[in-house]
Amino acid sequence: MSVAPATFYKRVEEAIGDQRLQGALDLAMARLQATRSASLKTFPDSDAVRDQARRIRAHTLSRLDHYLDEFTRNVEAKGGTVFYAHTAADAVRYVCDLARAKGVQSVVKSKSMVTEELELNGYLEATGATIVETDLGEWVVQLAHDHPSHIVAPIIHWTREDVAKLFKKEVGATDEDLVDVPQMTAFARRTLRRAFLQADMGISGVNFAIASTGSVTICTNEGNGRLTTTLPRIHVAMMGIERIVPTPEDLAIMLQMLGRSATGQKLTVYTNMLTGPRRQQEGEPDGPEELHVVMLDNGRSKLLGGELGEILYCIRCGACLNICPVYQEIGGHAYGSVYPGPVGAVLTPGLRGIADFHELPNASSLCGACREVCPVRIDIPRMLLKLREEATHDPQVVAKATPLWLRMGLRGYRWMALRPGLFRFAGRAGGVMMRLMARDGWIKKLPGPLGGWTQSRDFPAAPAKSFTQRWQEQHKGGQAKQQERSARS
Amino acid sequence: MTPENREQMLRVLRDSLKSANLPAATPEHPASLVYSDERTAWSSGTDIDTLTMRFRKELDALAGVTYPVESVDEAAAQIAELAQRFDTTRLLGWDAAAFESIGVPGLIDRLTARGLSMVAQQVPFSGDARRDCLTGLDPLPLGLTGADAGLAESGSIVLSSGPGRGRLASLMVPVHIAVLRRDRMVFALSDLFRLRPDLAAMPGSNLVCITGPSRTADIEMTLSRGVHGPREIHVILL
Repeated sequence: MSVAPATFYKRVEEAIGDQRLQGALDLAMARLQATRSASLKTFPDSDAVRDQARRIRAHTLSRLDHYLDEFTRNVEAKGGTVFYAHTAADAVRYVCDLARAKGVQSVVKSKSMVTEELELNGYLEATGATIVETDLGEWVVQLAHDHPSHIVAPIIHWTREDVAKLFKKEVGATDEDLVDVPQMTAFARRTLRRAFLQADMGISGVNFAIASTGSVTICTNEGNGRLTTTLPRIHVAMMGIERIVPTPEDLAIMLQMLGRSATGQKLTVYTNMLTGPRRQQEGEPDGPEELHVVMLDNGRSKLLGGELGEILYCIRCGACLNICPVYQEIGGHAYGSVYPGPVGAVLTPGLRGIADFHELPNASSLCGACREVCPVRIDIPRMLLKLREEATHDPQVVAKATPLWLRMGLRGYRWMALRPGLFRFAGRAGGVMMRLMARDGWIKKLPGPLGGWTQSRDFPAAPAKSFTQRWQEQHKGGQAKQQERSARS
Repeated sequence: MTPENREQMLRVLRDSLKSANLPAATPEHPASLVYSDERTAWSSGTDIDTLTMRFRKELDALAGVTYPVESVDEAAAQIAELAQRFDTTRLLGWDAAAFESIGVPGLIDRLTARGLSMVAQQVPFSGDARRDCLTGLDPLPLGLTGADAGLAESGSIVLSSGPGRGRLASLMVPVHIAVLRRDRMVFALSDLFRLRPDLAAMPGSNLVCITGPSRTADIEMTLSRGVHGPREIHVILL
């Protein structure tokens, strides 16, 4: 699920220095924001719909035991199988055992965040099966051994030329296949269709599950979600336990919100609702023989019982990424987690512990834009602050995030700051030092560990007179004395 | 789900919920959202023409094509014309009873009379037979289905799977033709589930809303169509 977390600042540095990434992000973020704003206007009262969406999510989670149980019974009544996976290992084991038991040789996948979280592909390959990602962007990521950088647009960090080169090298595309994006898309269709026709098992994510009917809903624009759940004889649907709504009417509210918030569409092209496997007895001509639903907990129930439960309202639209001034600059990879952006900055430390991901809640200016655009009005800044507070109480984080010299330095500062005479003297001495180092009033480079300050900006030298000196000069006479008196009393 | 697995799930969740703090959570299931008057008037289906106009406008914007026709005869003629354009006489599609169930009886007979044939679509359950069957269906250029409903707001068609109603005819083919009765139009997905309890009950293993042709913008945010599903969608409005 992650790259080495200790290198967060390094990844940020790389991202900011990557001109190509910066260009791609500028283009994509502006477009996604514009389409979202335009499409929300097509609701007669988008605020009312958002409030309703929030109420549905909040209520459902507050009775999650009830709704998951109802969902399970209804899936089973329609001939499907449900498994509750308490840990990531439980989920991986279930899917791999199933693949082995059914003699699965090839697997097609449509986009699923949960399987990324589990790093399922590697485990499945170990059973001897081949796995093909079928979402165009996810396929590129798989061929290149890269990671998705956005929830909705996984390869915004790739150019057309990069993809062309990759197709040529990895899957034998000819120059003719690569003349323009539609040709490349047609090439992908042909190549991936062969994988679909061969596959024994299709693994999909789940956007929402409906408790009252036992249905899972999978939204894709490309149609790979439908092929994955129709052509192979076994369909495995992987969902987080929080991805549930009580009724089809509730689902409609969420879907109308999801399309608009994610890509500015009124509905995703293929909104696919699946209720059990193919009903052959009734005469349905196609569809999978078996349906397995894996409900993944993997830390979610713990989140549910704590201060960060609200993050589970998330419907994975990506709007908070697109609006976030930090994400806009650093992109998805810098977060070092499957779930990037503001939502990831809460979800990742929430699911996997603050110790390894303590930088993420700090990768935010707390401007509140994410809360503003969130279709279910999640108060992300509140939870970021909560996590920052938590980090200060975690000895492991304190040890890691604050190096010894800094801790000693801060202790020394405290000792000095409590002694006014010494403090004034140190201030004057520091000022002199700074003026000696400065050129035209600016310091271009500070020595040692202080160099971080001047890495991307100049540091102004201290003025010749300290604040205290100027205060005393300006308030000479009665005023100053009066001040002193009132300060003393 | 084994009893142990269910018990584990319920125990874990109930434990967590004891200390949960979920802003805006109500003990009762939130009541349905009532839309504005304009919407309610539309949803009640009194103004089919307005709904149809909106449907055509929306689908047109997504590069889907609509053909208003006045009879099943005209619908068959339109389908025959499209078949000719794509140079085929064999269509992957729903059977006669399925078209009857959506209020378009006699369509298949009329197509047969025009020299078109429907390809049998029963896919074997497993093994090589399944693979061979799917591989055989794959090159067919045209799929023909009905639609159980239309969503005017988004230009979507709604299809349920069932006997004689395969999923492949709207999925595998490069070009999809659907026949939709105009009186089956509602405004939005919310209205569909409220006004059509038969569909809200999920009558088949698959209920799908299709909104325009298959599309992707993964590469440089450049739109291209037909990446996995049909690149063209033609809706005949009866």
